[in-house]
Amino acid sequence: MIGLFARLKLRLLRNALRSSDGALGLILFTALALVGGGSIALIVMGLNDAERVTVAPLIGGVITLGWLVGPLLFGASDETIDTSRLGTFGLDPRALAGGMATAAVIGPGPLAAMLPLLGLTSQAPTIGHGLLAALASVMTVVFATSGSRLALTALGAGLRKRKSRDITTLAAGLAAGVVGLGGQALAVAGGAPSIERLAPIADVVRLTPLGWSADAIGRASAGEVWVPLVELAATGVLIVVMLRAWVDVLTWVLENVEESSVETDVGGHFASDAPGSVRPIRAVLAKETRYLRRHPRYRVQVVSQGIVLVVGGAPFIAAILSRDPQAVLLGCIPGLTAGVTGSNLLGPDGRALWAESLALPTLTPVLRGRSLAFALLGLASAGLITFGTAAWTGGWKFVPIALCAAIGMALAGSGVGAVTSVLAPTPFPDDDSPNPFATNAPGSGCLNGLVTVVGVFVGLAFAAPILIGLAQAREDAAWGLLVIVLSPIYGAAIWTATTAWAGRRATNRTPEIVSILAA
Amino acid sequence: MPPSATPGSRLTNAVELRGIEKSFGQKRAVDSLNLIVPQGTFFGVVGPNGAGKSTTLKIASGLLRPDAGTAIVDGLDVWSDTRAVKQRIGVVPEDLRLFERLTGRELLEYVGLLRGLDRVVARQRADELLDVLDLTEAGSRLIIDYSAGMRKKAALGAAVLHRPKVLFLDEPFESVDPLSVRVLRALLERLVEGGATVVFSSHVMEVVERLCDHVAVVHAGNVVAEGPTAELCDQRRLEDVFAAAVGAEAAAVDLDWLGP
Repeated sequence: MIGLFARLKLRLLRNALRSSDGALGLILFTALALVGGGSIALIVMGLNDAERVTVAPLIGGVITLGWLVGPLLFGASDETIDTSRLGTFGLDPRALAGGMATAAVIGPGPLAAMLPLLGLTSQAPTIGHGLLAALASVMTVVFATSGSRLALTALGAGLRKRKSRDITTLAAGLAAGVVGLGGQALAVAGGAPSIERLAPIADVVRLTPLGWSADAIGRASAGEVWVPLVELAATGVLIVVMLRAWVDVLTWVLENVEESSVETDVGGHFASDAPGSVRPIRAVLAKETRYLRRHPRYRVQVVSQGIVLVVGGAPFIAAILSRDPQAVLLGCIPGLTAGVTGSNLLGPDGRALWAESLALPTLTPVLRGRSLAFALLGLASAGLITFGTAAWTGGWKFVPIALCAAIGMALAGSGVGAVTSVLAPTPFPDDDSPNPFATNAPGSGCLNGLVTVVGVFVGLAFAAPILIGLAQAREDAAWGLLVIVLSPIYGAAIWTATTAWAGRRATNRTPEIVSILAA
Repeated sequence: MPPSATPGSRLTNAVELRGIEKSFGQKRAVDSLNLIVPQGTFFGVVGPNGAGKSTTLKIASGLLRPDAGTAIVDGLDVWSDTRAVKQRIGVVPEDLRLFERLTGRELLEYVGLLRGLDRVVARQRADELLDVLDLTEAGSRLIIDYSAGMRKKAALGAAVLHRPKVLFLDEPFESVDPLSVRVLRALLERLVEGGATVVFSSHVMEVVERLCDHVAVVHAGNVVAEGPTAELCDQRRLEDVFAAAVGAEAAAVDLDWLGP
């Protein structure tokens, strides 16, 4: 089974390289991951013993959390985690677990994750310490994969019902946000980032299972033996417990493949009683607002916006806590993230785009309605934060500045999102897929992530004039007035231009986009 | 072949496909295909799996760009008068993807609004269609919770809501129960009586034979036989005509291990 799954994973990766979109995403992701992992490896190789002991548990913690949270938030490119496809084959759960674990460590992501661990291991003073560090590296990977697969298999089984899927996605998003917030807050509290100031965080992480085996690598590379051995023994026990739990969950999943969703009576009308036609953009917007409430993938995007918001706002905690009135300006951050959450507007229900393309002369209203929905989502968050911080700090005079800046940035960002959505439309898997973590095809998750990153930078570039105005407006009322007047106009102009361009391109390439999304 | 008349003129062909070619990688799905669908007909497209039926219908309805050839619908070029063609057609593709998180009623009303119908008209027609299609009770449930047959019916409702002049249906009766088939047939016949043209593909020969006044047999990406159903069949069953056209004989299954 191990060999079979290894070949399956390699075949899936090879097939991804054969499809043009998947290949692009996979190659770019591989390049970025290897450059990132290699860079960290080179950095840790240049550290002294004490510094390596500090960073090792943090690296281990990041790898484990990344393995766990990554597929949940961004979709996995790994079809080998999809147990729903394996239920009819009568497989032995133990053998299946071995195969799935093997598949989990094959691919560019795991390879990149191992590079920093190899960097740490390479600094061991003797061969004996090197072997100990190597064993700890392997156990770090096994711990991360077995924990990740246990969680994904259990969640995949539980999340077949939409409501529990939504709740878990929300919880995981919040957990990731809290982790990011905590890390940022500790870093900010310590002043400028440096390895010494990471020590308090490392001390916390190495006390948790997330950091045990990685801490063993760091300590072994620094010449220690007994503490690493104790940490590895504890990690080994935990791995055995997790593997047994995983086999139990797999057994249950394989015996309960079909678990249909619960029918829900939603009710309601789309068209009102009042006569008169409706502009298509309003109809699309109305549909999108329903989707924001009803579609798990949309909720993932909402959650990811919340994470960006929490992580992005973390450096300003001190300003909020000290009741600095200027903290109200933070309310514009959700406007900045609108482009991130709306970077793949056609993904969630792209398979039905054919219906909109036939019903409308152009796809511009579709893109505008969808991007506007995400802009409004960002503005709702902006309003909450702006008024909340104003009530806390008393900085009411900054409220109109923050809101107008948010409008400008949300419009500009969502316009950019419309462009990335058309340039790289990425389909999500079937809406009723029993595997809530899979992307549509190998490589598509990588592509989606990369497009999002590019969209973030372009969105930031468009938002730069507003951010400059905001910086000036902290001290100068005239700049504040300029931001209030010009930001919405600027954002509307960017939104109009970008969505018009995206709409024209989408209309001209409708058959191609429909084909990509239907794949 | 008669030339295509100007849009709106009488006795024009509803659909004209000339020299259509389409490949997917190395596979040639449609190969120099020519197909004429007279206006006001109930036109059936039959063929074995992988013959190119769905590809042909997608090209004719503007959902798939051909590598070569011209597609004319109601006298308008699909690829140069795309907007006008879209206003005249309705489509139910085989691979049915709808807006899963809308209810059946919301789906019909949404499509109606996109088609530019008045709000009241969209709502009224949606309710009437749900009633005719026996989906009134299910109208307030999400599409994702629909059975395959219910999805077909909802998709058909969305396709006819704006009263199209040409309706393309890919396997419209697949997964639909016999009673619902009767309802769908009645709805489609009503549409044809009103002057519209219905082009549909199907594997169910009996349905095609009973329903269609014209038939085309597609094989290996080309039309190998076509004409009025009565002439084409000439006292034979359509299934036999089909088998003869595609060169299929009664297959001997040489798999001893399956049993004697």
